[in-house]
Amino acid sequence: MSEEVPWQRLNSRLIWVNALRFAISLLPTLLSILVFGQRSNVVEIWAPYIATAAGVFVSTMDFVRWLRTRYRITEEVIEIHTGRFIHKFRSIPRDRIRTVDNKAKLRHRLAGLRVVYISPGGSGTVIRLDAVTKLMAEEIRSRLLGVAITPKDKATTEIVLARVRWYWIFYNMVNIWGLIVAAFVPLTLHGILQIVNVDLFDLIRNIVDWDSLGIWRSAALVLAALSVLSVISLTASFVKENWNFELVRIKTESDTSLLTRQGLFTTREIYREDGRIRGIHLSQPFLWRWMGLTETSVISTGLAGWSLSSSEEASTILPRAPISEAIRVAGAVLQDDSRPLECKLELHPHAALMRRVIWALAIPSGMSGLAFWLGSTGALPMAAWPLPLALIPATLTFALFAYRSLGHALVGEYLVFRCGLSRQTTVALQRRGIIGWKLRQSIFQRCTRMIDVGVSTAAGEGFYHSPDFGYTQAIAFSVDATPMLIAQFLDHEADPWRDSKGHPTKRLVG
Amino acid sequence: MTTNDNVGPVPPARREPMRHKQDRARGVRGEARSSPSRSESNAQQGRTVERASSELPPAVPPAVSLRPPRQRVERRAIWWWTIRVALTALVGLAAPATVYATVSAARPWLEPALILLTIAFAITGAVMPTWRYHVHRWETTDTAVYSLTGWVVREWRIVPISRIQSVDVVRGPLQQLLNLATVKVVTASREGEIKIEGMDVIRADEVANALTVLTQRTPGDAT
Repeated sequence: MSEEVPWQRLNSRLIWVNALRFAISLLPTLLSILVFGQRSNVVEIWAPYIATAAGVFVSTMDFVRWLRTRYRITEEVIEIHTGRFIHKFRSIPRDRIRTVDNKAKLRHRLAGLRVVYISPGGSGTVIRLDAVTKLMAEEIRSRLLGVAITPKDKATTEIVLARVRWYWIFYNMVNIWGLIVAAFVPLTLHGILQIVNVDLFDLIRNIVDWDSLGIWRSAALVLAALSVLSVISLTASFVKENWNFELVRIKTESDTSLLTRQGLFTTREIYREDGRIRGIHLSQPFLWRWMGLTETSVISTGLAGWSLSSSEEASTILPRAPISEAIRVAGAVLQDDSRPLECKLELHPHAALMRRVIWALAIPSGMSGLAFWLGSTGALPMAAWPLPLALIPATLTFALFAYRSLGHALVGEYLVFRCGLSRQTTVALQRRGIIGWKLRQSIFQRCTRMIDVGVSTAAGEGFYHSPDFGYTQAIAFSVDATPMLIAQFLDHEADPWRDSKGHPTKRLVG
Repeated sequence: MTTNDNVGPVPPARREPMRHKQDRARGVRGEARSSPSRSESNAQQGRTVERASSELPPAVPPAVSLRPPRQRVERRAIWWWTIRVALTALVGLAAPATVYATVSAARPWLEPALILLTIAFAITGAVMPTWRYHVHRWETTDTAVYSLTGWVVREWRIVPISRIQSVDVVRGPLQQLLNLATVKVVTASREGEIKIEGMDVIRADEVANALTVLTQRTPGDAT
């Protein structure tokens, strides 16, 4: 059977796309020769040569790849022969295929093409068809996953769960890494301007008189300029990534899927089957928590472990957004009325707070002690030893926040875990997603009757936990979550509700 | 085990799980509880915490605990752990000892480090194997695999049979020498696997076979 299926090439429009890329990559060199033709020497205008060489190389290689790539979809498998110099062969059995997503860069969109990613989920092999027509991409998807999506009647098959709001730009403008990224902007600009023989740094030197400003004002000026650049570049990247972002629930033949569409130049479409979703994961780094923001993702099995873009995982269903919006979306995504993220969590025992306070006191004291010892040997100035102690108010505050973020609950079919200081994570996981329990207790936790509780699951990160439950809390929690599993391992002799043989005592029966 | 683990006053929420005691009793006798009533009662959990606690009989200390698994590992495992510490110590001490012998400039700070390292290995080698032997336990039932491991930090793991992907028997060179084996219960999550170390080879094969048969008989998609 499978021998009869013919091998196919990728779409031939790629030839034209690459021819155009080839032509465009010649431009910088041509321009620089035209503009500075007479006085140009190789050393001065190396940048355009490199740009041209890179462009020519990439487009030629892509053409070679097109020449050497064949794929076919048989009854049993999808296979691809590819590789520029080294021949590569990949195949995925069709019953293993879990995700078929697509992505399109600007050049693909202009040519009406889509890049299709086919994967068995997790960290398995990915087959990338770069590129096929938009129609073909839809067809491959519906063939491989047995789903029919008819673009004609979108209104009846799609329900919009969330759309990006324009004011979310403000939440995404500030980032600690932004400054570092911003520092690269002038460097890149400098490189580009060198193509036309303009020295950016010289230009700035002419405008700003650093010597008269003095070092502090100069530093402040640079920092301010970088901040502005950082805000601009972060805003631009947010707009670029999340332009027209929408999260929709789309009906397919067998099931429903959550689909996100997003992107200004490069567009991405990622599907997540509802039947494989096991929960929701909210992630809030320290700063965002105070701004009331969160990143929202689904906990799902069979999602691609790779991501379609470097910045975003396939599981993310909402960009950084207000927590109220995330909770609303979570309610819509989890199709029951449990609303696990809205319930009040059980706090952990006060011993958990004590443990954090002790650490908050011990770490600065230890540092101080070390500084004292180093001071006595002369490696550090003697006056330095009390300095770490000044950190204690801060560490105590952190201890309190770390304790406040601890919590758990059992709501309907969901376990809820919350923990984390630098990044608070809140996880709502369905009980049917539990594939194992892991309880952990250090010798100190044993003395204070606390225990870490975690569940392993096939979905998402594979393991979710919260530290420092009270021991009885932990047992009650695990028994309530999976009574059939845990009850057989309970110690009935210590249980006032049962006699030594495990039968309920009279008190319970009566 | 009868002591209350409360530190400070009892917040109402902490007594709340007691409400499910009767459910639990049913669970043990093998009756599936009716899930609709369960999700109803839990859906209101946030709001009914206070009410629920007032329904409880007062002042009964919540003292249920996990019992340890029933089976112990082989006594020979003590030797296995001891030899492993010895080998680790040999490798771990060889490098700094060589430096100590050859580079005299490093001796002032390397000497205390080397002494501390040796003491740490000695204590571990003396204490850990026996301690582990007294802690490590395992058990399999018709529905689950249960293990307790560790020494300073203890770890209880429970995996339902229906979620087992495969059961492997692993034997390293040292274990072969001592006629020991490790049974590895693999699930779809890396964090979820159970390793029972220090079992007798024949026993390990028996257990692995029995678990494999049981796993095949038990419906479940392992995810």
